[in-house]
Amino acid sequence: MPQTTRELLRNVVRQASPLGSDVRFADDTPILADGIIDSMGILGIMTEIERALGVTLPPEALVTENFQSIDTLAAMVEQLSGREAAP
Amino acid sequence: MIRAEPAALHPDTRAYLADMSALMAKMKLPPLWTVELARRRALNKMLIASSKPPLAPCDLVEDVQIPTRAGPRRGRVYRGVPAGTADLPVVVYHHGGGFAIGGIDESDHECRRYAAATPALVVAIEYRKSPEHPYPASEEDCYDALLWAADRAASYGGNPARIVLAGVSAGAGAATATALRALERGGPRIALVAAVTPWYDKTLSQPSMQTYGSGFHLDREEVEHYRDLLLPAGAAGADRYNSPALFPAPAGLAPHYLLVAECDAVADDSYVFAERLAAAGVPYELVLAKGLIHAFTLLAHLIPAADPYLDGLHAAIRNA
Repeated sequence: MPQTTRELLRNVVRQASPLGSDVRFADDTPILADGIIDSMGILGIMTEIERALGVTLPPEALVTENFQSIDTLAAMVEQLSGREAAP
Repeated sequence: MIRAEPAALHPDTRAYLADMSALMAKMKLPPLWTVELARRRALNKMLIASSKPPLAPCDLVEDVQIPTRAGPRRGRVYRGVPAGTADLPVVVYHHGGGFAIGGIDESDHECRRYAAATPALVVAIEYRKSPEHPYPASEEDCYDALLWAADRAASYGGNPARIVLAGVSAGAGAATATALRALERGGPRIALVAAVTPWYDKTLSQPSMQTYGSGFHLDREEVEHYRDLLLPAGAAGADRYNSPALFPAPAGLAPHYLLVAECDAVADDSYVFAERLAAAGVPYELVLAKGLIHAFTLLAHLIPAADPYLDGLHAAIRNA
């Protein structure tokens, strides 16, 4: 079964987390504020989203507000792709 | 200190560079400077914000419009302590970023730190960048910011007789260029230029460009890239403003405080420039930050070894 956008985002965040890939968080956890993701991890998330979804995030999307949580990341992806991310 | 073999990195610096390299390799990321420019500017801003640099509390942080010959530019005024509680030097801050990236948001933490720790009145300008705005647009905006700061300093509680031109990397070079223009144009008297890891040779011909030109945070290829964005003629575009290491310094130039990172491709720019200052009888102090890297004052929250050098830098401004 293909993974949903949210599943993809959760996996990407786990892979990019300096706390290790078994780190736990909810979709509304402030991953940046809580240190689940650091500044370099943001680069990794951006790159993986682009690779997996075949999109290029425009410069205006590259703001910390979009990288605060799975929810904000999903909203950004939805807006870029024009559809709602499945849960 | 011209040398053929690289000096040892400070353990804090080595750890920072190792972390960066490991993540870039893990994520298969290209060097940031190779990313398309609009995207790079956004990324640079986001990466600095997300690294959570400490934001020193200030008595005043005010967004302003600074009039320049090209029209109003974004600026920001910082005052570390309430007006009237100290004789505040006026720091005109020249941000770094190779003249092509960076801005006042990206250097907010550094400006706040200058304002609070010195304490000082700080005026930062978002100058026009290359390649959209041909050289010397960036430097002329900085000069116009100096004029505005000198005119408005007293109304903000700063002492216009104590103007310090500060900057990091390309911005440090611009700070010296502003001092040169102030001298040539009969502009405001400058008490001090506080230059952090300045880029003073656009021909990239100093030995440190070879010694530290790969693997020390700022690679020669990156410097060359930014040079070519700034000066389409390349090395042939070097002049006394953008490359003061290559030209005699005029007598009467403002005193300089040169904070040099030992493991920096542009380290020798400062040593050569210091010889120019000495030949002209211009007072200067050169401080060597052992084992540190380019623009380290912006990375102080990630490289603890930077801290003592920040104290020295703030003290130099305080005493200007």
